[in-house]
Amino acid sequence: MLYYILRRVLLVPFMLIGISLIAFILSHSVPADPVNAALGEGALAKPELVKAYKEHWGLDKSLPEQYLVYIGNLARGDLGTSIISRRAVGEDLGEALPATFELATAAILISLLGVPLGILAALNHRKLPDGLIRLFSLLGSSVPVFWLAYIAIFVFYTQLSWLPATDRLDTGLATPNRISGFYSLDALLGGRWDALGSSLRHLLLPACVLALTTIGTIIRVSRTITIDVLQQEYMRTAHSKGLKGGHVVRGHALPNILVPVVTVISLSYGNLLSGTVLTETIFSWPGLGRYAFQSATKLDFPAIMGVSIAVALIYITINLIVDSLYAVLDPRIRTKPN
Amino acid sequence: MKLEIDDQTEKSLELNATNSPAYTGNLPLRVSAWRRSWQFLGRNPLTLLGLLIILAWIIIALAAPLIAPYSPIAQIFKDRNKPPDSIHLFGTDELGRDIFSRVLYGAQLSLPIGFILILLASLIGTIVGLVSGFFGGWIDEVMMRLTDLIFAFPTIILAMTIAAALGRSVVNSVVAILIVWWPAYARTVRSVVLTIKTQDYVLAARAVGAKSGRIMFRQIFPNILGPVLVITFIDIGNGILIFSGLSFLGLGPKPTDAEWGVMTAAGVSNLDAWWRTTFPGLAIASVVLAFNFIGDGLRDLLDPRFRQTER
Repeated sequence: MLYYILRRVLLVPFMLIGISLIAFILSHSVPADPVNAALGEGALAKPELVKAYKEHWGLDKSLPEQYLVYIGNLARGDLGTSIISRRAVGEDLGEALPATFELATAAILISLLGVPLGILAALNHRKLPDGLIRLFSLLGSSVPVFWLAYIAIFVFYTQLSWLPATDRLDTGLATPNRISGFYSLDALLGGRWDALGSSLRHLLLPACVLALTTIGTIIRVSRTITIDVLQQEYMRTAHSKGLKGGHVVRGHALPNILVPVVTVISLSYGNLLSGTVLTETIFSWPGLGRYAFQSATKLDFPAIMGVSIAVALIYITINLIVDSLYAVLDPRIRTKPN
Repeated sequence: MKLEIDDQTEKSLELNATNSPAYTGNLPLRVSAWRRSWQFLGRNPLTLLGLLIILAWIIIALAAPLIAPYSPIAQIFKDRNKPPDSIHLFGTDELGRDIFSRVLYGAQLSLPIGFILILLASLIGTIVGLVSGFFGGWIDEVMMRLTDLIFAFPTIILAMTIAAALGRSVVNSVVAILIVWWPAYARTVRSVVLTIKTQDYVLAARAVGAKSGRIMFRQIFPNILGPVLVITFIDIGNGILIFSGLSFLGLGPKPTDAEWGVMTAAGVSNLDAWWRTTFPGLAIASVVLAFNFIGDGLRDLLDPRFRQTER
């Protein structure tokens, strides 16, 4: 097992090189002109300006040379400078990442409700609760998230004025001292009760909208796995031993349901961390997704490559954690020789 | 009631068929396949509902010019930003265009794009998976590492970047989605091919000297076609969902096009005119939900654990 994890960790740098290469090829093979995108149409009439810009960003060198320069900087932890914000991409990401992490964590905590719902549906297989829960899960995976976000804003902000619809804090409120980058956690740790309430209220709408899109999958997997486990021989054995229904479910079914359910939750978390473009854009949540959207539409190549690498790292890390979790949760995998 | 009579005629047909030597083969199989479909739909009302919704949308897409009360681009200036009433069922937008008509016409864009997009992704993925799984070796290694890389990018960010780089157009956004969509099919098909290629009938074909191409397309392909078609069909809803997401971000159809994602985005700028966003969004949700209803039933059908034996 340790050998397996080690091998996976050693593969990470190669994955990163591959990903940076794809991002690089993607951002340099496009018909769009980054100089044009950054300086505007008018600047093209002034060749000396364009030349200076190209020299400054190394755009006058050959493509392989540019890539090597980029990889060299990357190895030192330098992701380059964003063309739009004119700040270090690493610095931009440092602010965007915790915002996305906070949102994704809140959303995944809410969608954990899907596990008991899925088990409940399986225990009532082909009865009314099963039908209702299945319908809810299908609705959750069918509704477009951008539309759901709009409906939520319309109802809870425009009509009822219960919850704020944009940003992470009320305007005018000072940001709590940075410890984790999670505003709610930092406010709690720093004893800033005003900021805590405000940040939680700002978190609620986008987190619920995101949770509704992931809960469908979590319900479906929990339900399918539970139905499967309930039909196993060892369940029949447990019942025929005379064990009570509740005890059979808790002691014999739950441990076997856990592994696949943990997998789907972790993978949903990974998707949330990287795939919240639409929700963040609509709620003006200053996270990774909105940053990705802004840099993609403005062809800010250093920023796009930075986001790609950050997201790929998250994805790889989560997969690694999931695989290691298997070993912890399932003794059959732990003892299996490689 | 009608169903029962059908059932009985089919039963007698089947009986006749099995008794008379002339009918050995096709007929009983076909009849019982039909009957099984009917029984299946009877037991899965949601799947039937899904099929009916899709059918309704296909009819709407084909007959939009006949059903729609207004042209999707006609601007009636005196009726700008009107809430829904008897004249404009879904209200009007800021240019006085009838939203009901635009939603109906929207089906002409979203449905075919969903079909074409997923069909192409499935085709590319199937070919890659077939070749990759069948030949193995370095082709397989290269292809699978490529899918690994694409999987490491989040779908929407990669699609968004490609679409933004290529420029705003329907074709470019379809191309962008295709690039991120085919690897899932390639992986699935490859894993199925790996199990099929060790089957006896494949070995037998090889033993009598069949060429690789013939084995791939005559022995293996027919055996993966069924499941792949089912997955493809279920996936159309997801294709429509991500396409409308890109349109919503402004990376697809033009702002003037009657497309559901674009219409939803246009409505967001004016939160008080709730009807401008609500109805196009409902259209997307209904189509995707219908495909998911069908998919839910088909998944149960494909997975023997859920196959019901009792009537």
